[in-house]
Amino acid sequence: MAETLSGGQTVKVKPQPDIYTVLLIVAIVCLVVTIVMVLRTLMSPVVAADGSAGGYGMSLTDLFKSLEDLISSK
Amino acid sequence: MSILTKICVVVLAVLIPIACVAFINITTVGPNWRYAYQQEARRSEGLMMDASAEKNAHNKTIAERNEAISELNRIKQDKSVEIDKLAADLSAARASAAALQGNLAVLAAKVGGLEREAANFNQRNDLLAKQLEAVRNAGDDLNKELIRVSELLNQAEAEKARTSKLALTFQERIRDLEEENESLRRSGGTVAAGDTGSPAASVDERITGTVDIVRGSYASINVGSANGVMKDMKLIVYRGDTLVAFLRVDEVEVDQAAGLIVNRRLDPIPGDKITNRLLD
Repeated sequence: MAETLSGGQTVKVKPQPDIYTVLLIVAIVCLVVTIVMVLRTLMSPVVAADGSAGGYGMSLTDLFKSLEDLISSK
Repeated sequence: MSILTKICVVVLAVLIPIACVAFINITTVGPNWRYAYQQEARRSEGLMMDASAEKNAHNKTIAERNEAISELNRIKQDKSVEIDKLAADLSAARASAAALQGNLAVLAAKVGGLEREAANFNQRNDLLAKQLEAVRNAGDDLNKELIRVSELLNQAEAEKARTSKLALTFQERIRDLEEENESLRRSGGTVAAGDTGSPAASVDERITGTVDIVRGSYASINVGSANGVMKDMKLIVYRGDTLVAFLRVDEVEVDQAAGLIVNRRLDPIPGDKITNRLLD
């Protein structure tokens, strides 16, 4: 944003954050948190250390395979 | 910021939380199909291993069954052979039993005959035992009678010996008296007053002694003139209660004498007794 003074000089003014910026930041944060939780679930070992059910044990490439390809590859 | 941008920001701000909730719910709440898949795969592998083991066991059991069947067939054949052999033995044994039955009947008949003979022998034995008992009783009676007769005979022999001794004594006395009478007759009927040492006077003393030596019909004795023995004296030789002989004295010394054995009844031996008279 720029504001022109009386002497002919132009001074750039930093705009104030509004509600939309806040909403955008919140959405981004939620999206990041969701991505982290989903990836953690998908890429953790199938059997946990205590023997109970863990994650899905998928690698990074498995995330982009179809279900049929995933079952056939396993 | 344009109005469109603002609208997009608002829409994103609304949709992103909703989508986040949906994604998190899908990934975390639903069942873990991967874990279930691995569990089922492991279970399937276990079942496959069990099936393989069962199959091996089944094959092994079938092999054992076939082996047992072959063993049973072999045993069956052996037993069949044994049964045939036993049947043959049984037939032979039955034949032997039949023969033994026949022999047994014959033996039974013989035993019956022997039993009858044994009964007859027993009766004879009883009869003989009774007769033997009677003979024994008679023998006992005869023995008693024999003992009694023997006692009587002993008594008679003792009486005979005593009588013989008395007779000998009397004969000796008669002979001495005859000699004395003859000597008196020779001397003219007179007797010297000091003639007490004559044989007639010495006969009154009883002389006893023992025969020392015997040589044929000649014997010596251990008494002499010191004991009253005189020449021509006739002494009696005896052994216990038995008269042995008479000794006529030929030679006389002080402590011994010798003479001829006369009227011999037994052979004198050293140790026989001599005397001039049997009774005091």
